[in-house]
Amino acid sequence: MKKDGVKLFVDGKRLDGRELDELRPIKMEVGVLKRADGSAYLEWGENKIIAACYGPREVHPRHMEEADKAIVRVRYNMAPFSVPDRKRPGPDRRSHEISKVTKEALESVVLTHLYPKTVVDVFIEVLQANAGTRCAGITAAALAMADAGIPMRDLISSCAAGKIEGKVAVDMMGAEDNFGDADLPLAISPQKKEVTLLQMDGNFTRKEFEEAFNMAMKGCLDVYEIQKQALLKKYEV
Amino acid sequence: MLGVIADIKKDYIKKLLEEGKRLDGRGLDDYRPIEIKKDLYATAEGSALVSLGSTQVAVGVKMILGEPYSDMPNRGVLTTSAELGPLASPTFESGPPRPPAIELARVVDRGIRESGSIDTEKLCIVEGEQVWIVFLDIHVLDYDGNLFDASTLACISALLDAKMPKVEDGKAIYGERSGSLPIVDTPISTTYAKLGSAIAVDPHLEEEQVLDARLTITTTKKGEICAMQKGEGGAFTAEEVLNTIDRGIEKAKELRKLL
Amino acid sequence: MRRLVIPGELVSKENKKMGTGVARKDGEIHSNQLGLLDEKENFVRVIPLSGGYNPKEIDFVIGVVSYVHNTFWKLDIASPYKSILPGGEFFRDLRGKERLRDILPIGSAVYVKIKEVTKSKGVFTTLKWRGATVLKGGFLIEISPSKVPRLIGKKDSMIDILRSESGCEILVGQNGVIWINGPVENMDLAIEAIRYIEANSHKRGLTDYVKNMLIEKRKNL
Repeated sequence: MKKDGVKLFVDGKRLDGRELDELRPIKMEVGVLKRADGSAYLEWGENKIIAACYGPREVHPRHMEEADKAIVRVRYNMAPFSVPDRKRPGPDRRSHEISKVTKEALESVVLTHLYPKTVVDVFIEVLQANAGTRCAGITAAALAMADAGIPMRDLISSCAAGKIEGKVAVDMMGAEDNFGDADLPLAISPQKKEVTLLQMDGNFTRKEFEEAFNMAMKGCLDVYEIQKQALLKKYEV
Repeated sequence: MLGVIADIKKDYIKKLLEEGKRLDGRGLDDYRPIEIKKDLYATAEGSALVSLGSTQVAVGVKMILGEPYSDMPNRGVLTTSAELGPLASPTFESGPPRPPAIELARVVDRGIRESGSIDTEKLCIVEGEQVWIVFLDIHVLDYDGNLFDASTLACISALLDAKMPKVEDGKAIYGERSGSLPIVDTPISTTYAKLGSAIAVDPHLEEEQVLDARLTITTTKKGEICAMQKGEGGAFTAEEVLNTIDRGIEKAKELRKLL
Repeated sequence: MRRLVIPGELVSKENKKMGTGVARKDGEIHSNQLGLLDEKENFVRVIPLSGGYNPKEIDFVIGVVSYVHNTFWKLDIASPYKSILPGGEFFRDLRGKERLRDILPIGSAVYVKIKEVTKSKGVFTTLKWRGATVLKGGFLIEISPSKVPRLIGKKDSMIDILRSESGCEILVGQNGVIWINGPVENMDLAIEAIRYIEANSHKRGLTDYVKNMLIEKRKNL
């Protein structure tokens, strides 16, 4: 969505004062819900997101059950009040797609063979949205899963990069997302730096893509450091 | 987590309640610790997060301009919905609201509506044509019992927090605010659980799972009753109803101080 | 102090014997779980801090009857896997016209031994085992199964203290379900102590702390 006349840089800095390669402030807290087996709360810029993990548990409906492994299910949901125009409750096409790619981003690290015939359910609730909710949701979900004790070979960390006024930048906020030229959300398993989610829309040259890709990768690794601290903090003595 | 409630748990909770004791050490008229946080979600006109023990309920107020009902052409409209999403409990499922979520939304709505909490005439822009429609969305985050009282507290807190968008040429300008919502009463609900011969306020989950019957009483600032709901399969005697109302009216006065 | 590790974290570059919660990749050993690193000269494992119950044939668990068929009970054992208690595994024979639902109706709690876990995760339990029993009176609480070893302690050290100092009967299922029975005040004490152990299971010196706490509090009963 391009619009002329909207300035995304003021005195060489982004609208919220950031440099091109600078993330918004991020806060994470693990173990915020009693009922869930694992949970996490995340504030990423103006995004406020809570994630819960239940499982491994019995699969309902039964026909989804797999004889030799656990399945992973993800539900991404936005609260009606999380966006400026009230969102009608319930899933729409966008949230269905995000749920699907989020599930695929997360399941590659889960040791599903340890719990055959079960499901690991992940629920992501967006309470306040301001660009980048899928990356924030994936990041929070990975924490909730680790907190639940789900056996995983790695965490998953996520961050986007994009292009605003022709310049490649990391982690776009609301106005940049609305009026920018391209968006590239990425999720990785940080140990091997393997890509588990990649989407893109807008317009990049081959060279710009590589720059944005590297910037998003670097962002994921920064996010990973914050995730680690959040997990350790829950059990701090 | 066990999905089935063992009989010995029910027996023990009942024995405790009949001795005037509870699993978490509370008395029969004690609430769990209550915390109210307001102005949390900038995308909403008003918001609140209430925790009642481990129960957590988030509420957002959204306002849009729309048409009034034809029989009330000079009044704004209130719409209350509740989502018991699967995040909040292993027993909640995805999908459209089921009867428990609808009951919750309707009981909370009745308390607010019948207490005259919102002066809806002040939400009229052009009589018969344009009024504010106020959406109250109850979003349960963690279900550890007594969603009725947590939700009513969160709704009232969010309404008190709400700032009305400015209106110019029949359009809402969400970036600018024109003052608070016209809130004239603050209904408070108090919910009691009956198990055996004991009746206790603010049941937590383990009590809620085994209770015989439930009674919710919503009262106004003046101490008048504006909404009630009896729930679950058990029954109350007439005397129990009257006694519980007296307890509820007194308790609501304490809770209202937290707003 | 054992180090807290997160999923994926490198725990050893040496070629050690591996216990639970770790896996080898590219010649290095990495953690598969959030937990405490238990590393010895030739052995490494990660002790989980949370997680579900995976039934094992040596375990005793506490279950609640969730369904009664003509020939067997279904037990909820706080696990993704439902378990079966065959009618023939009740501790005595049926008498006359007795039906299974008369002797253990839905909601009955039992302390059973897991007899067999099949390849397809069928879990078969029995009451015909020394120590197995139908639970009468008392109360059930639940903790994460990963914290059960801490609650029992080395050579039963923790559970022995809990029993003697709280004055309650306590049975611990490996599935994290715990049965406590005694006078109400003593049960409060036992529950408080168990909740403390659950919240502080990653700390050292827990046994002494719990013992002193119980002795102090019991003086005031």
